Amino acid sequence: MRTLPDSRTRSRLWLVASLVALLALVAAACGDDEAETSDAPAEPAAADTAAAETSDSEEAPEPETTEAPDEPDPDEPATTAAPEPETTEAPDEPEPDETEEPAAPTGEPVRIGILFSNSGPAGVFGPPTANIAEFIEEDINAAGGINGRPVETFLADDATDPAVGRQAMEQLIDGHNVDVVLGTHSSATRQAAKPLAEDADVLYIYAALYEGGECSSVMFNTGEVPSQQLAPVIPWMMEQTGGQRWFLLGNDYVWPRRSFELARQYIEAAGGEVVGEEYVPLGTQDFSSVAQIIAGSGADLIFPALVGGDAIAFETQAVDFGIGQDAIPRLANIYEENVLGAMGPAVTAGMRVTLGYFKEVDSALNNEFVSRYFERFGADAPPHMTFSSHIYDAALLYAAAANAAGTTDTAAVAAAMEGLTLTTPTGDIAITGSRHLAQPIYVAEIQADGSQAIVQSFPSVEPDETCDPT
Amino acid sequence: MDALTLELLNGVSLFAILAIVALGLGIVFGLMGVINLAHGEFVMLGAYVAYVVHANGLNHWLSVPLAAVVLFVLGVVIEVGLIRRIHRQPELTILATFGLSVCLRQIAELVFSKDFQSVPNPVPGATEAFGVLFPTYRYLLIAIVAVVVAVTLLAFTRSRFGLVVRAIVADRDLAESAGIRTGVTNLCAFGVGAATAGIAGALVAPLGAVEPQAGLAYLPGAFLVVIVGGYNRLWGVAAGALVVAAVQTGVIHFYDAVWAQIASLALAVLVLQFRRPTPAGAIA
Repeated sequence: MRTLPDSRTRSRLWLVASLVALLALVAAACGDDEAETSDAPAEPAAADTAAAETSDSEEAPEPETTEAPDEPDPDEPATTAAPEPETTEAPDEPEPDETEEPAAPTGEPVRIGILFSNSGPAGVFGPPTANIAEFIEEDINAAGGINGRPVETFLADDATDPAVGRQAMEQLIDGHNVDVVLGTHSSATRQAAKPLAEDADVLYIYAALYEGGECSSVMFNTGEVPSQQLAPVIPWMMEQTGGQRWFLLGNDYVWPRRSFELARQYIEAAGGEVVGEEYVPLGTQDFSSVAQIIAGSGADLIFPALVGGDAIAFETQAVDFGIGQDAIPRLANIYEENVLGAMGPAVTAGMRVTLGYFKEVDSALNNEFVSRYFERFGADAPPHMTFSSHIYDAALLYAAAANAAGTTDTAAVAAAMEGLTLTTPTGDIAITGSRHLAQPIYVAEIQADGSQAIVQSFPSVEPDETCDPT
Repeated sequence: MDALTLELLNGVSLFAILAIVALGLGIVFGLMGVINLAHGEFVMLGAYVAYVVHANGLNHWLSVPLAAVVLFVLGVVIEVGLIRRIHRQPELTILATFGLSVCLRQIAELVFSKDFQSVPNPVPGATEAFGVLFPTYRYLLIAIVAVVVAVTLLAFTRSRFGLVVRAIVADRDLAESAGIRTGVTNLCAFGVGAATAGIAGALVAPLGAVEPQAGLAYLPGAFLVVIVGGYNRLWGVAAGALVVAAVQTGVIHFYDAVWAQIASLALAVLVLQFRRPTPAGAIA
């Protein structure tokens, strides 16, 4: 009687074990294949890129995996972004409009990993970053690559989830063997993924705007920090509107709290007053009671640090409660085009937003970049914005530092990063001694038709950060 | 006085939103014992119906019945294709509906893109009543929710269908052996549950963002209401929504929004501590 269930269990165990073994084999085969391809010195980077990127986005159609075509890859994190066909363009084809033709990069590619949110709540910011990855390869390769080698990008999606982000980082470092990781994702993902970069001694440039305070021997943080977004802009805002009494309304997590802590200092230094500070949980849909509190506070300026759907819910409901932008001007530090577009110009007209980049930045370099972006990806492409722009800048900073160092060794590149200055579509940027980025800060005002117009810019704003990782 | 009136109106509008969002969850849970983790996605799809109606230049109010019809059909399809096969095993329904919620989110993303969309308020501005200005749309929302909830409750308590439903809730096996076709009733219940979620989505669409992830934010609130109100009687949903809305509004008024959320979750824990064991018929 006992032998039957026993043998059944055993055969099931065997089935599971053999499945696991098969998966491990497939994974190993894929890994080997990649290592081999990149070891071949004369391999044109284009073919490699195309293959690697395809395996990034869909089930890998590599020859080794044909014995188990239906097997899902266990290492695969949630992926979406389709690879762009243009990446197959050979990097050793010099750009025709380049006046000075640098030597075409050859040899084993330098591998640039990009850790970003392409799904989950922050997934809306993903598509422009995926597009920009294409420009990163093109532009760095057109300029001669890194130390004569072409570059290749690898995208990994954190699904706006720190645990997935850690796996994605693992995949970039161990699976794709990247030389550097550029990140645009939440601070929670950064905290989860950072130890992996530290253990593997891989340079990690976090390019998203964040609350500040990060300091690690393998990290540089090139996004806007609150001190940059706020120190020059808060006094300017009070001068522009004549408002003195601020209401601070944010989602309840570290970035709004840190922003408000600093905002309070700058407001008081400028002779203003904080008449209310409220936090709402992420995912709040009903703002009626909060609107009541704001209306009763006597505020004449609102600083909303709300993200995504919460921002849209607050602003659309605020209008009906009589505390819209018309009644109480807004200074926002994260309202970007997607969110503003969903609110609609009737709600947003007149709002001011402070960020390190808008696609409206008026410089020859940026105008050319933006028109190239929309030509390539279509007029209705997800707009290039501060997150994608900072990823692009981070890649250029890395390329410049690695070229200056003459190697991709992490410590050498990190040393070359410090004090590095560049002019990019964002403007003039410089890595500071605190491993952050001195960068321009722009204030955009939303126009009656919903478009953004830059009404004020502050060049080379220094971050109020300290960092000494050694 | 005015501040109190306004806060009362805020509480009533929050009550209406919570009630309509949770109603379908309560129906499906109470009657079928199915823990529907895709309920938030039904609300999200209802909001997208409102978005499509708006994008085609049609009147927003049309989206309320339309969302009900679309979601009813979808609910029926899902019941036949998925729920019917597993509804007697609550743990399986949790897994299956969780998977369903992921699928629905991704499908919405494929069809409508990840971008935030919005539905403009069909009646912007405020109306003066009781000596205070209060958003007109919220008055209308409260009225529509009152009608929908009342009709649903009446249908489940006063009609022959309601009698059958209560017989099934009391004892499914006995009801079946008495000749009641529980399969048909389940089908109706799941369809109606999805339809009310669709109505909820269409109604809340002008108050916030329409996006594939929107449902995630509605699910916890709906569960809170069902837990607090109890799920073996349908009016429990209304009672739960009332209590949660009162706690939320009160705590935000006197303290802040973060504590309001903590308070309503603590309320759920408290209620579960003191709730007597539910009759087996509700879940088994």
